[in-house]
Amino acid sequence: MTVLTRQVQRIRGPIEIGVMAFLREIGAMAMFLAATVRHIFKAPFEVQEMILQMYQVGVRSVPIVLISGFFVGGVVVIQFNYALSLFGAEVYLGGITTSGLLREVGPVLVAIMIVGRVGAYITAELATMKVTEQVDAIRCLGVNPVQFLVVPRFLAVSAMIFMLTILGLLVALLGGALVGNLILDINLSFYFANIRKLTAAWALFTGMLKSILFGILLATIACYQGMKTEGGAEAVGQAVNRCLVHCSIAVFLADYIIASLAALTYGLAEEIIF
Amino acid sequence: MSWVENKTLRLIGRTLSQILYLARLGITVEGIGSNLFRFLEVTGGGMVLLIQTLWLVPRPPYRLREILRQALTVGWQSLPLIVVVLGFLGMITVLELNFQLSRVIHNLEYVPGVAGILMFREFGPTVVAAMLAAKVGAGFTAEISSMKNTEQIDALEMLSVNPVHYLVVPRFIATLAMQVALSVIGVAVAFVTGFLISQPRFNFQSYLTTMGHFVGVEDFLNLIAKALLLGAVVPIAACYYGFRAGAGAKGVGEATTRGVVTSILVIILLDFTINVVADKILEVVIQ
Amino acid sequence: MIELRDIGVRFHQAAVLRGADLSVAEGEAVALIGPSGSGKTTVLKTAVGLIRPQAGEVVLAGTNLTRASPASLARVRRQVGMLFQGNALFDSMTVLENIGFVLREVQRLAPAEIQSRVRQFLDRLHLGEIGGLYPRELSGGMKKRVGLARAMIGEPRVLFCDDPTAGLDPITSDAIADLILDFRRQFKVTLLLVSNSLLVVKKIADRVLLLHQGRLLDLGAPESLQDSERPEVRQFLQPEFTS
Repeated sequence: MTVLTRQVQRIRGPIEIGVMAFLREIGAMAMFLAATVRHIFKAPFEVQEMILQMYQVGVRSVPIVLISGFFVGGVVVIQFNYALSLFGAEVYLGGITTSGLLREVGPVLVAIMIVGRVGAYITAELATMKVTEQVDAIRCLGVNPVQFLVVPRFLAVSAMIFMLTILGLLVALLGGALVGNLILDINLSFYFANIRKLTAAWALFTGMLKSILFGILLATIACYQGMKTEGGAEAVGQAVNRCLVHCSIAVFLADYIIASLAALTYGLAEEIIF
Repeated sequence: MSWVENKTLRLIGRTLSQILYLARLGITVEGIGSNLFRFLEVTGGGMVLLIQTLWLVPRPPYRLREILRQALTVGWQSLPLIVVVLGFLGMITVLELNFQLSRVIHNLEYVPGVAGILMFREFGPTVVAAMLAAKVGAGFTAEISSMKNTEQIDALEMLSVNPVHYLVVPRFIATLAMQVALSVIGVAVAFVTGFLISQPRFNFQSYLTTMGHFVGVEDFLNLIAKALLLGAVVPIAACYYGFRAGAGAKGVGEATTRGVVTSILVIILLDFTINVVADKILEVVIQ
Repeated sequence: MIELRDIGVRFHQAAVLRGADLSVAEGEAVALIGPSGSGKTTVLKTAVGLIRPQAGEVVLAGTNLTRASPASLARVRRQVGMLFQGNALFDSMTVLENIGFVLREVQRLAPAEIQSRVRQFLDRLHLGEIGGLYPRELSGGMKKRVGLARAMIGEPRVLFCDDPTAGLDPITSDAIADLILDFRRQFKVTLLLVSNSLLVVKKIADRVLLLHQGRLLDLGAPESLQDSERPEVRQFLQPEFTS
């Protein structure tokens, strides 16, 4: 027993430190987000910078989102077809695929595709400006770096992830239907017939809600990691890496929270109705 | 002409003209042509690097210690990420299938089985590969591109050591091995979290039984095969972009973005191809 | 030993070298001077085959590099040492591993043998007990010495030095120049050196070339440099005289 207590004592230190560091990081990020949001409504508005960032993060990601969305739609329809065939329930393929893509796979996919771009683009840019003392220079010129650098990027990333998700979803649905038709030989009218039955507006709403949340999370993490970088060129690489990892975890964590909330409300609704 | 002086209107006008200008850039003939050219160049370059690497893998010298060192770094670095992400993914899959299957087959007893099938056949290998692209691939690109910028790659050549053999081959083998190991670990973690989330409905015994009904050896082999094929993407794409990175911190950052995005894109395309081919083979076998 | 014939190199449409000729005899030491950005490093990298020229021929130690297979290129490079401008030390390795790299990866010697030979080299360079340190822990002058040691440990017949005293103080520069001179005498090595430091050039080189608008002009012995009447030489040297 004493051995066990001693072991516990030994592990407790590092774990406590780790948990504290984690909480401190979350707190710092929340403060950063609050500061950013406060500065959104203050003039001057950096519209040009925001448009440039929208172009860099959004417009230039369109081809990737189109291609990956289409093929992921195809992958999902193939896998669901297999899973449903085990129950002889292929009739429902169109409905289940559409609903699954809207609620779950689409938003997560677009977020993960953008993580690569955003992380390396926004974080690397801000981190480079930070380590080459450009941020200090901005501050010395009497300009608030949060307002000048962070707010336009934050708004651009949040807005573009939302729009790209809509685009990605459309293409994924198209990919699902086409692959189902061409590869799995499923009649299209058959495919479309039960979409209406199994896909409620609620599914679309869940997907949109997720994409907004993912957008805010990714924008916050990317800007936060960039702005807190200290050191040299090596620190820039580490910041990018941390941004990629934190964004991935944040996406799946947020997805889990929304999924369980949705399950809860669905369960409640079921109880009320039946 | 008072509206020209109006600040807000001028701002909106300038904004619109900028949007139009930027939008035009993307759809000119030249723009599309150069994009296509770059796509072909990158695909070709990546294939050449892959062939070079495969050619050099069985050739001496075998740098076993370097391979082991890389494997440990890759595995150790990405284990926490894989555990957390696949843990959540396991729970998400069960929740989603609860919702979807309850409407279709009105029976939630099969949910763990279907979740297991999807994890083994699809989400396990692809999500692990995508996470490795973000965590490990980005590191490879940054490392190699900074070596290139400080002439260390030239130095390797001057010391008559093949940079591909020295840098890419150990990373390739290590990532491949770790991709398989981490996929197995990730699916195991998802199995556990999936059990936790479906807690009141199943005890461990019934959970395992349903799982056993659906998941077979062929699904496990599917996982390994996909992990091996998708695992080759990350080191090749990452090293390729590292070797052709531009100068300075900007070049390194750009190379990293391209490496990660290309890796994930190729993973999706390859996964789709594997699925289609497997589906066709299955059809032939059944007939 | 080193022959460049009518070399043309362009980067992204911009011609860096156009018709550059160079010939270095065995045992000779030649210095290459020229304004920054004129392509001195390009000449060096072309001469060792790191850059493939679009026009012309390179012959190094009896092998035509423009037509050489990877295997014969590797064979030639075993007779060549190169000291890079930024040293290009491998930052994932210690000083000992850096210097012993060729012995380990190419000559495949036993670890004990590598150890003793590297230590011998470190002593000769007056570096003492730094074998376990990493490059980032060294000063500029020490890095340069380690880079030189790595280039020389394979006992090459030709040594290329890309601006060996860039960014170093005058005393360290002089010490590095002494070391190169020492290696030259001891190993009878042929030397091609890029440098804009007239002190170093005068100390080491037998002959000076000026890179001017993509061509190499032979200026003869370094001592005659200051009396040269050629306008491009005067233009290049003027700031040195006034300061």
